[in-house]
This record gives sequence, structure tokens and C-alpha cells, in this order.
Amino acid sequence: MIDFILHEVELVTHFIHANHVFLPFFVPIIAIILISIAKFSIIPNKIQSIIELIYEFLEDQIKGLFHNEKDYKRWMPLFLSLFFYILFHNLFGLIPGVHPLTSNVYITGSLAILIIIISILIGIKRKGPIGFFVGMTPKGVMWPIRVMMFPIEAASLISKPFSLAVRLYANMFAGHMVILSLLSLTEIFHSVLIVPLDIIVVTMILFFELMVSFIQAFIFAYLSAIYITDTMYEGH
Amino acid sequence: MTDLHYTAAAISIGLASLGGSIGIGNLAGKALEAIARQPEQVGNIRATMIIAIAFVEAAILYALVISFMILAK
Repeated sequence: MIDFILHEVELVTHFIHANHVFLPFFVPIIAIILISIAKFSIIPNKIQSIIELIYEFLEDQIKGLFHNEKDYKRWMPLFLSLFFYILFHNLFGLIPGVHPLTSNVYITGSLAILIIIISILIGIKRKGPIGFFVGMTPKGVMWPIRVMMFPIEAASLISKPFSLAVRLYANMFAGHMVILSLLSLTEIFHSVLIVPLDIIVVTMILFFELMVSFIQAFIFAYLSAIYITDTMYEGH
Repeated sequence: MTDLHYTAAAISIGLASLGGSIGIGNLAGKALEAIARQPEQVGNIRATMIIAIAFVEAAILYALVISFMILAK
């Protein structure tokens, strides 16, 4: 039984590689075409109101992290484009046979490392190199404790991109693996009687996946906003 | 691949989902209490609850990845 699933995984893996060469070019083109054929007006139509709903939710959540309007105006496009990039790739994964690019740990890893490098650079730019490294430890405690805490804070800085990358990757990967295992049930039981149950359960999981792809895109954008604003301002 | 590998993979995902489901259960229970106390805040509470559940779920999925890594050995 497990051999069968592993065999399937192996087959899918070959397919994934073909997919992941093709998708990085294909998805942005689709997104650009969708945006260019959509009619935007002052009175929003259906698609526009969905996009505005998403934008307002993101604005509500992320605006509070910034201390002033100027920074917010400057940095919001980064988080919005991260959100929509990840969202589009996640949604493409719902098409049967397509493995989303975000279920590839190299892609999510490079996005996460990009975010951490940006956060370190903006910290160094705002506070200076010494100020940044001193500012990593909490204020208002005695200096020996701050020296002792520095390695811990450094380790937490390094572990941030790992958690960011693996969270997105595991969520997108796990959903597909669950669907694959459920669809393998017909092979395991050697019967077609399981098919109606299978169809119902897989459909439910696909709806769950739809929800997860929105939530994970939001969480990635929100956490990167938290990491960047964390190093941007002095501790409060 | 030995039987030990299968056992290790099963135990790792089993324990992780045990802990995670206890956490999600607590979270949803507390959110229900909060909604019962303040029904006008239902939108905010639901949004925050779903985000928190996604965080808890990520911890379970780390274990799932680990168990797949064990199986792929």
C-alpha cells in the first residue's frame, strides 16, 4: 500500500519538475492578461470588488504595523505583490494536474531569504550597522544580559526564513499529498465502491485548499511585514 | 527502508496531529466563548481565529514533511 503511494509520489515528482520549469513564466502572463482584460471603474464590478475587499483587509492589518503614513505608502506595494504572487501560484495549484510553484521549497526559500535580507538591510540603513546589532537585543536591561542574549537573538533571526519558507511549502505540499493519498484508496481497496466517498472527501479537501491558499498568502505577506517593521523602528 | 521507518513516520505525524488538534480545539472553544460574550465582534474574532489556526496547523505540517522525509529515505 505505502509502496504504491511512494510510487505515485515518484511519478508526480517527475511531473512537478516539468511543471516548475513552465509555471514561473506561464502564471505571470495569465495574471497580466487577466488584469488587462478586466474593466476597472469607480463603481466596482464583481472581480474588482473582490480585489478591493482583499486590499482593504490587507490594509487594515498591515497599516497598524507602520508608525507613519509615508513608510506605509512606500512599503505596501512589496507586501501586496508578495501576496498576489503567492495567491496566484496557490490558486493555480487547485487545477488538477498542476503542482503549484509554492509547493517547491526552493521557491519559498528564496522568497523568505529575500525578505530577511531586505529586513536586515533596512535595519542597517535606519540605525547604522552598530545600532542594528545592538538594537537586536531588548532595551532597558543590564549590558551583560544583553551580551548573553545576542546569540539567542541572532539564532532567532536566522531561523525566521526557515519557518517562513517551510510554513508555505508544507501547507501547499501537504494538501496535494492528502488528495493523492485519498485518490489512491481505489487502488488500495481494489474496488470501485469507494469512489463516491472519495469524490465527496476530495471535493471537501479542495474547498479547504482554496481557503488555505488565501490564508497562507496572507500569512506570508503579514509575517514579512512584521519582520521588516520589526527591524525598521526602534524597540518600543 | 525498514519497518522502523514506517513506525517512526507514523508516530511523528500522529503525535504532531494529536498536539495540534488539542491546540486548535482550545482555540476554537475560546473563540466561541468570546463570540458568545461579544456577538458584535464576530468578524474580527473569526479572522484572528483562522490566522491562529493556520499557525498551529503549520506546526503539524512540519511533522508531515519530516515523516515524508523519513519515508523517502
